[in-house]
Amino acid sequence: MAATIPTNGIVLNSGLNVADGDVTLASGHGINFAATADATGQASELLDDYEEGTWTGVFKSSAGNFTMNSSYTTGLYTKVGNVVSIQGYLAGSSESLSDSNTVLIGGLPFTASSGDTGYCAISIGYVASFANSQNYSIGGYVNNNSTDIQLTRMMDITSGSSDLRVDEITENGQIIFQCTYRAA
Amino acid sequence: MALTKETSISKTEIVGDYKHVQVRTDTIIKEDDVEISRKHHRHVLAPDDDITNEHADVKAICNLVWTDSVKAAWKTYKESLVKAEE
Repeated sequence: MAATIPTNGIVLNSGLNVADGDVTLASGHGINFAATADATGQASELLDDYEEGTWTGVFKSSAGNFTMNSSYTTGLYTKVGNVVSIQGYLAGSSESLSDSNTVLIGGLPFTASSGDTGYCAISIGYVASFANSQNYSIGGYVNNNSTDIQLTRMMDITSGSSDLRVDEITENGQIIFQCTYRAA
Repeated sequence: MALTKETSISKTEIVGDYKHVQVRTDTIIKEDDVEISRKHHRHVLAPDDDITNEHADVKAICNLVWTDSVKAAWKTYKESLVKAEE
């Protein structure tokens, strides 16, 4: 049975060395870094969350989902505070969606935060079986308030990028990517 | 020695402007009823998602927080994301 200190906690003058076992924090609490120097505009100095796990990705449009290759749907995530890092290797198998719809990656493990700061770019290292006749670069970003990544054609138009369409990823399209975004 | 595998929902959270329901499902491996491994898997439900196959507790939460106004706001937001092809 663990000892309970009912009030005021304890102050350690020589650090804390945990020889075995975990440090377990109650919900809503964390490690407070308030004693450190602050950047202008900092909003929080409490490290209150850490988690690792898996998530299931899917290609999708506003009309529905692709059928995915079951060997390539599971990605990994790590959440530290309110920052989520994900990686994924996804591959489609078949789809019967409208070719002209924009195509997204759905299923992110946490909802992205709201406002303009909720958008976040992704990094793509590999794509295959795309129908990219114009040879534009493929990009993407996490949509705010959502669990979706909008895939884009980079600089395919004079003014910047536009959304990738279902027929450009093809039903067997593959992608390896990573992303770090802010959770709601 | 008996190895068993079970899954359980370890966390549900309601987040964001449109009441997304975040669900964490744990897969737990036990040896003679002693836990030796636990893995997390996450998925998130939006107000227009099909929850037919979700756990009853998750369904109850979704049905509670996804009011008509929340669903309408989410529909409007999603439509704003669908841009015309340039």
